[in-house]
Formats: sequence, structure tokens, C-alpha cells
Amino acid sequence: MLDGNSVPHGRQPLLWITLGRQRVGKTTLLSAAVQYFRCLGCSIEVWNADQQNRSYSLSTVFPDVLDAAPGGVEDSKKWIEDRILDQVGRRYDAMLDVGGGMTGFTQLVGEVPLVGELEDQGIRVVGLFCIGPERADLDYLEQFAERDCFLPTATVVVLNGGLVLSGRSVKAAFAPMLDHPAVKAVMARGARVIPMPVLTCMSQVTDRGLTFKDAAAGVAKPDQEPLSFFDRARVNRWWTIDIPAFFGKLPREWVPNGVSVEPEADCGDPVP
Amino acid sequence: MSRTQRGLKTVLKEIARSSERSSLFWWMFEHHDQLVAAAQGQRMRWAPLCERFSALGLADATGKPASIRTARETWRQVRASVASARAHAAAKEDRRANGRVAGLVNPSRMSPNWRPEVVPAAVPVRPVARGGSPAAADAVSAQGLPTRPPALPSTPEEVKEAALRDLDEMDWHLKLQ
Repeated sequence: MLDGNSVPHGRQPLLWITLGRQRVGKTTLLSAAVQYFRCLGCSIEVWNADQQNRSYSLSTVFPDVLDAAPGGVEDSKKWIEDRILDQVGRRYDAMLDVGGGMTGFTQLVGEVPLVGELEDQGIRVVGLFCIGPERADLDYLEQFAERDCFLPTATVVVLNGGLVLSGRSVKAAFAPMLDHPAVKAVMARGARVIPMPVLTCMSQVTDRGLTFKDAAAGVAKPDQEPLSFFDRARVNRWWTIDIPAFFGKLPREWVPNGVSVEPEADCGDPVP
Repeated sequence: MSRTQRGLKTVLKEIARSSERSSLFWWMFEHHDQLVAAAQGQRMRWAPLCERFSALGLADATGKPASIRTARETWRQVRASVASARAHAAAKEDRRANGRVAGLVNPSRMSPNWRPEVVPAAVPVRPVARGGSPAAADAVSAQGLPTRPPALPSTPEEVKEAALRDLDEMDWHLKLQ
């Protein structure tokens, strides 16, 4: 059954999934993506299967998030399966935060060739592997590449510059990662490697559970102080310039693009 | 030509031209205004139009002559794309007219309805048009059809070089903070 969230006719629904070990910026990246593409008019369902992250999860920012009920890995796996079945049936874009470590998602992709199955169902999976400058940050990518259990054609390796210690060159920190065999292997399969822009006051925004737009505008929740005007200016630049440029580096087919589509009722034969 | 018109022209050129789009799409895109004017608000007569499109060598995304349904859907997408491009151009002009610098808006002056700009995503350039030869692709360009889109890095070497360039730029920005 189609509904108002369905993607435009002729386009594959997208399923974005962020992957990586804990504390590498997966939730922040997905949060920025949801905010950005929703601002552009795209309908996106947000799924939160991250059972670990309590202080900053997608639920703190988006009131309409679908959260997996607390439970074990099997429960989480079943919940993700149900969500995907719903997406296949109703044809909409979704973004999934699976959390880090051993999760229901890792269990699922160990059992089922998820990417191929979803391609058969007409869903384009976009895998975003978040990494910092530590060698161990590549463990996820390496394991998935070796076992070939989850490497979509649309794979993005996101270099999170915010994880580089202050004062150190991000280029120097990440250059060795680009020569790692796992990164080379996914690049050979068509993956993109894109640095995520740094927002030095990111924790000021995430700790408050604010959207980036609200943070830049000085909005504060009850019992909170708004960001200083310096930090507001930093967020403003990041949100209005750096983030659009970041998402602009992804192939068009990999990103939600509901922005330019007029309502179906206005798109009939009569010429305007 | 006014600044608004120049801005619109620039934006239209800046729009990422996906190689997945058909030659029919880009032809309609380029001739949008003429098509609208010629139709004069009437329904498009797709059957004879499809014959004309075929005679002009305009094809759907698979390289085949467009069916009535495909042509109608293509036209719908063209109208949406042109409308989006014009809205983008108008917003750009508005910002320029208001004297804002480098796209930055003071947070205190952000409209509650503010939306971030669309940065057109470029796409990898395929060396040859689908189902055609390089010569055929050039010929299409020579007929005045849209040229190829700005290229994203596609080979592993290009992807790596682009990442290093981005990291360099990030270092430069961080030094300024």
C-alpha cells in the first residue's frame, strides 16, 4: 500500500545504515542526514535500534523516531526485519541507526545476504561506515569486507575529522587509513571516502539534544543555556555551508531527492 | 541580460546532470519554456509527440524510443526540475540582493522557514552514452543537447585524491578557528 511517504515514482527507496564501532559519530551523522534531507522536503522514516546510546540518540532529536524496544540481540534483529518488511511494502526512504558492537543488525547480516535481498526487492542500501583515525576504527569495515556480508555498492567511508585530537592535522591522521587494505578494497568496489566536516562545538549541540538549525538560532530547551554566540556562528557555518557540501559529494542516486518533486496531483498532462 | 536571468542560467547549468537521465529528458529540459508556450495550457498530445521525439533521435533511459507513458512521466520530471532550479535561482538572487556574504546568515536572522541549500550532487561520468559509441555521444552534444555532468571521482585513485584534498581543506579551516 502506498502512502504519503512513498518515494517519487521511478526511484528506488533508500535505506541508509550507519556502521562502525561505538563513539565514532554514527548517530550524529545520521541525525544530520535526517535533519538535512527533511529540510529539503524529503520524507524519511527514522529507525533507532541503538540500545546502548542513552544520552544522545535519534530519539532525543526527532519525536517521530521508531525505537526498538529494549531487549536482546534477537529482539533487535526481529525488530529490524519488521521495519524492512514494512519499507519493502510501502516504498519509502528510511535511515537506521544500528548502534555499535554486536547488534541485531550484525546478527542479521551474518544470516542473510541483506544487500542482495533488498536489491531484489528494489531497495537501494547505502552503507555509511564511520571511522576515526584509530586503526581499530576499521575493524567493522575489515570484517564486513573479508566476510563479504554487508558491502553495498553504495558504500561511503566517512572520515570523522571531529575524532582527531585538537591541534593534530586531520590529513596526517587519516592519510594512513586510506592506504589500509580494507579501505582500498572497498574503494575498488566503488565506495566513496568522504571526510565529515568538523564542528568543534558538536558536544554543545548534542548534549542539549537540539537540532542544528535550532542550535544556530540560539534556541534552548527549558533549564538549558543557549549556545554562546561564538558557537552559534560555528554551528551556522557548519550547517549552512559544510554539511550541504558534504552531502553534495554523494552520488545523486544514493541520496533522498524528494525536494524537486511536485505533488502528484499537480503533475498531470496539462502543461502549466 | 539581468542578474536574475544570468543567475537562473548559471543555476540551470549547475544542476547535476545525471547520466542516468535520458536524452529526451535533457531535450525537454532545454526546451521547457518553448514547450510550455507551444502547448498554451492544453493537454500534450503524446502519441504524435512520441513519433517526433523518435524521429529526432530522442530516447528514453534505456536508449529506446519513448512510450507515451514514459514521455508523460519524463515531462513531469522536467517540470519539477525546472521549477526547483528556478526557486533555487530566486533564493540565490535574494541572498545576493540582501548583501549576505558567502551564503552565511546571522543565526539571529534565520527565518523559521529556512531550509539549507541543495548542493547538486554530481555523478560519475560514464565514458560512453548508454547503447552508443563515443562518437554518438559527441554527436548528441553537437546537436545542442545537454553536455555531461560534473564528474565525481570514480576510480579508487581519484577517490583517494579527492579525500586527501578534502582533508587538506579541513586542516586549513581548522587552523582558522
